[in-house]
Amino acid sequence: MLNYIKAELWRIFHQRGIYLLAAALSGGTLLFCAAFHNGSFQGLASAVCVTMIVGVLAAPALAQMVDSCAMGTAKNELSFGLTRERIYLGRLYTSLLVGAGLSLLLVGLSLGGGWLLLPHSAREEDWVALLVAGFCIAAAFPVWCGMLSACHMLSLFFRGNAGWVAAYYLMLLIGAPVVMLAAVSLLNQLPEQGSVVLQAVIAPVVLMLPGVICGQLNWEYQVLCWGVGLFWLAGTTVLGLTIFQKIEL
Amino acid sequence: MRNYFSAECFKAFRRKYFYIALAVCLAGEGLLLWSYWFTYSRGNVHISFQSTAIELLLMLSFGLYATILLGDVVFSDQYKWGTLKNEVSYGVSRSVIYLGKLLAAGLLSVVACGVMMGFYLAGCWVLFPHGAGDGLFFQMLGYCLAGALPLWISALAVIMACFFNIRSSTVGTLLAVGILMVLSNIIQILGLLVNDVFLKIYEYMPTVIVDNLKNMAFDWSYVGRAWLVGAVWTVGAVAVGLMGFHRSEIR
Repeated sequence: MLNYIKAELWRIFHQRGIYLLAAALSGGTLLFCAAFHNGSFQGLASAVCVTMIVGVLAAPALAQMVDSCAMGTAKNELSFGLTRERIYLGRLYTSLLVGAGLSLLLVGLSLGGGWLLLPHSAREEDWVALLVAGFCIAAAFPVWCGMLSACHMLSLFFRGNAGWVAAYYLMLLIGAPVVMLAAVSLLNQLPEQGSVVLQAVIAPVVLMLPGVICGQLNWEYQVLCWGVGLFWLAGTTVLGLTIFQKIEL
Repeated sequence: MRNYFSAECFKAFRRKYFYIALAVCLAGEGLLLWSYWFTYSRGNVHISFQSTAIELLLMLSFGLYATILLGDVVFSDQYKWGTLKNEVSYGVSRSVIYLGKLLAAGLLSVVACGVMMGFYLAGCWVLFPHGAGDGLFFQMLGYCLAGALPLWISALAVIMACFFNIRSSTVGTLLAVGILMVLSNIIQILGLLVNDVFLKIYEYMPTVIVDNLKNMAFDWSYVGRAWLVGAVWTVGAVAVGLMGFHRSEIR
């Protein structure tokens, strides 16, 4: 498995796509930080907290880095003797590793660059701001992994890439609010917490909305994010693996 | 052109792709209608035709991004499968190919829009009580549709330009999403950082106008702005797309 992952990483980092994606995201990060730092590291760290949705928006691009030619080359890999499970999981682990690397790059650029270049207020306030940003990133990470796993499943299931990528963004932008509206109406009788959990499970992107993050900086939110993220990661992996085992390549 | 357009429509309407996508969207609308009916049947007095139908006006941006799916129904990875070179080799001019597919995608969009809006409005009309606000809603609907239509057309023109000029449909899709979704945010940030003129440009971005339409009723000069922006983006996207397609090597 490690050899397979190493081979996939070698392929990805010898293509332009990952560098273009990293450059685009880095450019966007630097622009955002330049516009919203509010003159101090504390201001920057607070602004970074509301950008967690970027990981969910970038998931299809990341999945395509790994899976763009997968359906064409998978039969060669199978002929070589690799199992379908190794191909599916190896590409999933590769995309998660690349995603983690990209996240580190962007966090390093924003928070690391901000720590070095921006004026600091009282030391304690800066550390609190950094901890809050770290809390938000720690809560977002499993949700990013869950969405990336869903994109990996979709990229191997659908022959046409544009269709599922468009459907993914439509689900995020319109499908999630529709689900929330429906859930609010249907689950009026449920306790508010139950309604929030069900909405998060159906549409994890709601956990990343700036309005939700700002009001939910507590351990229940952290547990909910990890639960929803791991649920989607495990669920889409099981479903994707099942489908991948059965389809004709 | 007429024969080519007919052929593209035949292909698009014969595939299951369009109907599956439409069915999924109608299922989402059905879920929403059912949820409103559920709460109405349990005594919620705030549910009415107006209060439910007006949700349509909050989702006008759906029309911008749905064009990506509809464009893919018509174009469908033709670079990957090598069918585009067959059409060019046959002797069909590149302009006819480009405009034929654009018009076919446009027809598909009109049909999809009509079916989806008709289904939702019919559901709201039949299921929920009516009141004095119905007339106002239809005026708002007319106003918003008048403003959104040229912007939806411009989004379709942008996505087709991306599909025709970028060999990878995924990169084309991501570029279209970037242009439609991300570009306006970048311009807004530039307005805060560099110069106020970018904030003026921001006010003329299709996504911003579509989202703002419902707040500008009944300022018809704003609809005029929507038509102007839509026309500029459409003509620009078709010109850039056509020029790029004429020059590109099709392998």
